[in-house]
Amino acid sequence: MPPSTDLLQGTLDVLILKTLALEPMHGWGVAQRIQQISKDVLQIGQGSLYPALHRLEYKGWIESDWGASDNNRRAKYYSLTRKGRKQLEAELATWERLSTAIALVLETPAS
Amino acid sequence: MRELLSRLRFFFSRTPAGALDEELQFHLEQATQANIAAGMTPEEAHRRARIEFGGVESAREQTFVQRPGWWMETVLQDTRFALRQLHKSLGFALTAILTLALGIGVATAMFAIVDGVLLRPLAFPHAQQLYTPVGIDATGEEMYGVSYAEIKQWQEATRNSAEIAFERGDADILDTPSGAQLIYKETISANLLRTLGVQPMLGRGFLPQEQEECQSHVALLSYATWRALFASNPKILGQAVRIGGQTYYVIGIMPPHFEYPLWGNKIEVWTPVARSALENKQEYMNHMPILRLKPGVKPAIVQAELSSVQAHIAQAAKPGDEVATHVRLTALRDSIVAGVRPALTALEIAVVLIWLIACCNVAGLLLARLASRRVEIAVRGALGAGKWRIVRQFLTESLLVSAAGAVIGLGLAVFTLQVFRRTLEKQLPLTRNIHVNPAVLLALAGFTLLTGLIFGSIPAILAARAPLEETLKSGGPTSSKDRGQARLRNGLLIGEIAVSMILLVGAGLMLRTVYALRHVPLGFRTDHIVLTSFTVPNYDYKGRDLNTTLWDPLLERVQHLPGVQFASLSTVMPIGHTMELLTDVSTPGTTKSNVTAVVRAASPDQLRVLGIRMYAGRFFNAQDTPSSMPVAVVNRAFVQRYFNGKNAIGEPIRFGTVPMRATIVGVLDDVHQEKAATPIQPEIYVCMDQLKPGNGLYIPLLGWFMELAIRTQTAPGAMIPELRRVIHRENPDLVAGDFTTMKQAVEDSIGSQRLAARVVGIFGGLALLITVVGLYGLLSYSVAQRTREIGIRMALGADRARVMGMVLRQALMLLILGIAMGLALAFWSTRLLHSFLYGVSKHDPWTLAAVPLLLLLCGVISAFVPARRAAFVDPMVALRHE
Repeated sequence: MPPSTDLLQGTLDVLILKTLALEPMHGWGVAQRIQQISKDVLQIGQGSLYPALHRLEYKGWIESDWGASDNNRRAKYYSLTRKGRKQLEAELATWERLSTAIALVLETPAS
Repeated sequence: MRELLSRLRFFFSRTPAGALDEELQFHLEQATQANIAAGMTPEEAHRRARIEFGGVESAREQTFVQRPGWWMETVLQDTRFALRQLHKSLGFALTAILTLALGIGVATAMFAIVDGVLLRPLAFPHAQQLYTPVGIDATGEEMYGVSYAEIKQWQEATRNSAEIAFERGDADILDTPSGAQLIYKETISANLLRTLGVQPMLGRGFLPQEQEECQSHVALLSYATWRALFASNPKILGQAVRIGGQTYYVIGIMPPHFEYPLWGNKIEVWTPVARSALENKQEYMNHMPILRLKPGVKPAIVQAELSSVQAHIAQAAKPGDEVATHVRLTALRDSIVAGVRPALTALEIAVVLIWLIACCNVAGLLLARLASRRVEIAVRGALGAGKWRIVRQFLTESLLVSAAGAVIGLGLAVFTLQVFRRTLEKQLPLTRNIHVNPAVLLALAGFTLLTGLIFGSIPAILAARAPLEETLKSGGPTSSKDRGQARLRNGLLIGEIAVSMILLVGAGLMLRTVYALRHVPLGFRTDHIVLTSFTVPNYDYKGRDLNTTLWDPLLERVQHLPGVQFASLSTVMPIGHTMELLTDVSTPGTTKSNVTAVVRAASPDQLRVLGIRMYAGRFFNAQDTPSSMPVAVVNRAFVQRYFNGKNAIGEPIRFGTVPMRATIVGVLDDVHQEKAATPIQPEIYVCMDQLKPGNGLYIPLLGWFMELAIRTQTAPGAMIPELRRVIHRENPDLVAGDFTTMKQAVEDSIGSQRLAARVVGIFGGLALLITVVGLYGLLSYSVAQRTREIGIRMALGADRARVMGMVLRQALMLLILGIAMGLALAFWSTRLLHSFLYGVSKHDPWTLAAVPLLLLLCGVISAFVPARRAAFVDPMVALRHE
């Protein structure tokens, strides 16, 4: 299957990868972290978070492991694989190019 | 590929569904904790967390869809569901599967036959370059065989474009360790094997000089001959064997599947044609040529070359000689299968029709089922199943049905071919190629898929198109769309009935033909007669009288066996045996010039064995000896043709150039000699005992072939082993052919019609069965669907008879429409059968009347069950129904 071109889904994927690049985390943690860092701008709906996590896992970009959470509950921790790290770099580069391009278009003074 | 592997990995190592639940639960708890930390009460915190989270179910489902194995899981799910559905309505499933199995089974068997005989390349390298040149005379008739002189000129003319080889075959006698054996000796040109592109499996082929030198007697054995008669002994190479009294050295064994000419599994030996024989006048004619085009040469060019040579030959020929005026090239396969192609094509059409009926039938059944499953589909749609998913569900169901049908059908095809193999070998060339091979399996897979798609797609598309709300609201099938579907179903069934009509009319005509053939008065009795034939080793009897040293003692021995009433010998006995000696005869009393007749020798008891009656005069007796007056007996056809029916007794006969005269002493009733269906020829019998060595008819009538007929007191078949043993002991050099009974010989003589009748009969029966099942299914569903309506009618006072009449009327209408259509089609299509018919018109009124009656009867019987069910509907139950 070719990589999805869906912008939103692709964006969510790269956000998750970036978040997990710092440290292994469970689903709740990922959502919280993205929300915090984006200063509550990006709130991840759980309806799309878990499908995305599982999709990334099936693609082999992240892997999961059951561990104990801070309050000693069993939780599923996700971490980045080597393949995932490469993918993140590629996605970041793409994002860089794309956002620069969009910025160029949008910042052109209206005449 | 990696994608697929990953899918498979996740498919097999599926994470338990509980893991996802736990993960989601954890998320909820964390959210609740966070809310509590933000100062909410636990209940409120939990409520808010759930609201924020949204639909747990939907999240779970979305996550599942991400699984790479998801697609396959849904296929499995569909399959499981389909199996459950089929199990639930076992009657429907079995009907559909068996119907399809029959359709696919006959189609596969027939395809195997057509593939083997008409399509599969012949087992020679570059077989497409092989052609048979056939001489055509001035009237456009094909000539049988070509003379060596002509072949030599052909070879000369096509030196650069083709290679021409030739062959002629004769029955002959091979002496083996276990006694004399009848074989087919094919005399071939030295270049035949090279032309065909075949090498012997052991040893070598013929050298050109072996065709030239008259004294080099070498032979190639067929694999079957080698195995059966020489126990596969490789030391046979270089050894001498005796064929027809001559010594030949075995120089090679041909590979197992080699046969030439390409018909039958005869025991064959090949020897090179010798030049002396080629130049000998007697063997001058009747070589069968074969031609291989040089690479890149078009057949039309060679045909033109050959025709121009042949035109010269025809010009130079003496007037009155039968000479071809031009030459036609036929591809080797076409020349072999030309006779059977029309029949096979007709049968192929028949099985395609049966297959179509089967498909229509199952489509009809599925449509009917769809009507009753409308609510279920709507519910599934309402619960979120997509249109594509519903279509797939139906396709899965029909593919399952057709796959099951295909597997059973394959078994059926293998079984059918096994049962018919012997009959096929008798009736068809190239039967060696007939088996269910990969090509046939591929065709089967294609059929299956096609069947599944054809009858799966119609209901599936209809199901997906059905609007949900309406169906759910009405709670049952009532809409006008149903009427459209009912029309489609009725149309399918009318088509089925019409097609069955065609097949049944064909079967009826063939049965009438076989009946007519069986009831032709043959002119002789067929009961209690054993027949066998001998190939005479006349080279062993040089200088001895065959009558006194061979035939008289044999007849004497057989006559005195217990259980034997009479025994007689004749050059040719009636039925099936086409070898005949045709001579010019002249009698002073004839009213026509050019008189020809079949001549045979016979012993005195001939009439008593066969039960033939004398029309006038007498037959031979013990007083007819070599020293008494030579006598002859003719048949009525002879008298009719050459004496205009006047008295012929006492007239002298002269036999062509042979210095022999005989006096006609009796006239026989006519007897069907060759086949029941062929007209009777003028015949002359001469007395065996009066033929002496030196007489021109002695060798042709006594020294090549002889047949023995025995009238037994008990069942003739039971005597065969004893007879075989006695004859072998009496004379081990004498090669007896098959032993058979006269009844069997008569049956065999109508073998092709019998086979056709049987095959078409089976096809007709299948079509009838499938159609009746279809009608039954359709009416059953229609009654089930109309239960409510019927209940209302009965509540309003309709009685049982009226309700039954209603259902039967529906059946009758379908039947009558189908039969009318079928009659029109049958009227046109029976011309395909024309060449098989005997004693019955292709528009035989009896058949055309009986078949519709049969269909009507079967149809009404099958309609009776659902009609009865309708009549016994309980109005109270029916109204509460649904």
